[in-house]
Amino acid sequence: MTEKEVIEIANVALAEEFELEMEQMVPEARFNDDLGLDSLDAVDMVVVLEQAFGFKLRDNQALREIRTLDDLHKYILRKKSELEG
Amino acid sequence: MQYDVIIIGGGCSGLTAAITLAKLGRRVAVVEKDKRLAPLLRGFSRQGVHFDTGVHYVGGLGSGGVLESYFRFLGIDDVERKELRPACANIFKFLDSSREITFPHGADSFVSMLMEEFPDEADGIVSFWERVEKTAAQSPFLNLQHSLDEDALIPDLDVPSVADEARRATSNPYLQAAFSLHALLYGVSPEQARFDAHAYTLASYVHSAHSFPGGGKVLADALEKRARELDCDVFCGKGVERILVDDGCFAGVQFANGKTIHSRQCIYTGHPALLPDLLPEGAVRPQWAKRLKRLEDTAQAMVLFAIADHPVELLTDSNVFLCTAPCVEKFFEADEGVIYLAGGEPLPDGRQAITVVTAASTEGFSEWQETSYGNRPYAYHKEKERISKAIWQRVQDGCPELRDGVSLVDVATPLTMQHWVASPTGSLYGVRHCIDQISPMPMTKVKGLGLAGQSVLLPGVLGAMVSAFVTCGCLVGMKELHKELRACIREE
Repeated sequence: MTEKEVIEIANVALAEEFELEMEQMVPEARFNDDLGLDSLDAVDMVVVLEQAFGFKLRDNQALREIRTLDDLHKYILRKKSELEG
Repeated sequence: MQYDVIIIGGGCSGLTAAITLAKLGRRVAVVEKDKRLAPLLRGFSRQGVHFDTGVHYVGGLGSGGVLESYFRFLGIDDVERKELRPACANIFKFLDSSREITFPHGADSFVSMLMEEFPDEADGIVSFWERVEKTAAQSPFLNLQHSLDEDALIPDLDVPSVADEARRATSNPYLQAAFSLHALLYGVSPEQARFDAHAYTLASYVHSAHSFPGGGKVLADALEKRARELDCDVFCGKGVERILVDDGCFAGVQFANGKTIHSRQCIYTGHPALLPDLLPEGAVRPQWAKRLKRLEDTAQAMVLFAIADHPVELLTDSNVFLCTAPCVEKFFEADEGVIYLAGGEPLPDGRQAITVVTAASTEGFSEWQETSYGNRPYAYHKEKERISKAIWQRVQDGCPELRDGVSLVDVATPLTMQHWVASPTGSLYGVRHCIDQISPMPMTKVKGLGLAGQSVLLPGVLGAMVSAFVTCGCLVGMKELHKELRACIREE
C-alpha cells in the first residue's frame, strides 16, 4: 500500500461514514471547523478506519492531538510502518 | 403534551435519569413498555416465594462506596440492604479438585486470602491487585473526585483483556480464574472482557457486597416512589413506536395508538440495537445505525428457580460459583460453564428461594424464536426441561446440600429474557463492553437525544446508574450535576 493509497482509503472511508463530499477531503481540512466532527466522533472514526485498514489504530493520546485530515493521514501511516517495522 | 425531557424505558437507568433531571426542576415523562416500571428489577413470585431476576447483590454500597453516593444523590439511601458475609461473600468451588476459594470483602482481607491460598504467587497477586486499584482510582465514574468532562467519556481504546492481565500476573490457572471470577457478574468472557471495566467491578465488590433482603423490587419501588414524588409523569404499558425528529432535533415520541408526547430532550435506555428502527429515515448516518444494530451482546443464560423447604446455610448471605475446571476460556461455555447460585432471604416459615444462572445460547432455542412468551409449543418446553435437568444435576453434584428438600419451580431460557428485557438476543447485561468492540457513546447525532443504560458505559446496577447520570450531564451540563453528586460522598 503506497502513501497515496492509504490517503485514498482513509478519505473514502470517512466520506462514506460521515456523509462528506470528496471535495471536502483536503489535507488541511480541520475535523472540528471544516468537517463538523467532534471529539465523540473520533471513536466512530477509529472503528471505521480499523475496518478499512484491518489494523488497530487505538492510541487515545495520539488521537487527541489530531486536528486536521493531514494529521490523521500521518498517524495512520505511522501506525502502518510500526506494524511493518 | 409538552415535557422538558422524555425518558424511554422505565428501568434502573431510566428512573435514575428521571429522578436526576426532575431534581433539577425539569418536567419529565417516563415511558415504559411493560405494565409496571422496572419489571426485571422486580422479579416475580412462585408459591409465595420471591425470586430476583435483575439484581442479586451489589458492590460499592458500603460506607464511602460509590453506589452509596449515588443512592444518597437519588434520595433512596433508606433502601434496606444487608451486608453479605464479610468472610465469604463469594465461594468459588472447583469441581475438578474440590478446591474452594472463599472471597471476603475489604481490600486487605481479599489480598490476604489470595496470599494464603496461593503462597507462591505473592508477586503476581500484588501486581494484579495494584493494577486493579490504580485503574479503579483513576476512573471518573468510580472516583468522584475526578472531573467528568467530555474527554472522560472516550473509552481507553487500547485496553488489555482480563485474561491477558491475569496471565501476565500468574501461570496458576486457579489464580487466573480467581482474578477473573467477577467477569461472571457482567457476562463477558475474560478473554474479551476489558480490564478497566473488570477492575471497576472487582474493586466495587471487594469494597463491600450487599443484598436487598426485600429483593430488587424494594429498589424498584424506591426509585419509582422518588420519581413520582418529584412529579415525573409515568406512562406504563406503552411502547414507543416512533421517535419524532424535527430538523435534526429530537421532538417527541409516538405510541402504538398514534398518540404523541413532545419534548426537546430525550434519554433512550432501551437496547441500542433497537434504536435505529425507531428513528425516521435519514435522522442518523446509515453507517452508525448499522453498527448499533451489529453490536455484540453479553452472555445469554438459563436461569433456574428453586425453593428449598429449609434455609440453606451455604447460600444464606453468600454466593456460590461452581466451576468445572479452572479455565477462564470456558466460563461462559454452554453445558460446562460456571454455574452461579444465589439464595434469597430465608422466609419466616424456613423456605428459601434459590436461583441458578449459567450460560446458554439462544441458538439452542432458535427454532422457537418466533413464538411468543406464554405461547410456546410443547417441544420448546421439552428442550427447556432437558437442559434444566442437566444443569440441576451439575448443581447437585457440586452442592450436596441441595440434593434433598429442594424443588425446581420455574426456568427461564434466553427467550424468556428476550421477552422481559426487550433485548434482541436475550442477553443478561445488554451490549458487551469488550476489547474488540467500542460501546456506543452517550450522545447521538440527533440533537437532544442521548443513550443510557448498561450498554453504554458499564454493566450492572452501578453501570445503569452511572450511565444515566453521565447522559443527564451531557444534556444539562456536567459540572453542576457532578458537584451535587460529590456532595453526597460520605467519608468512611
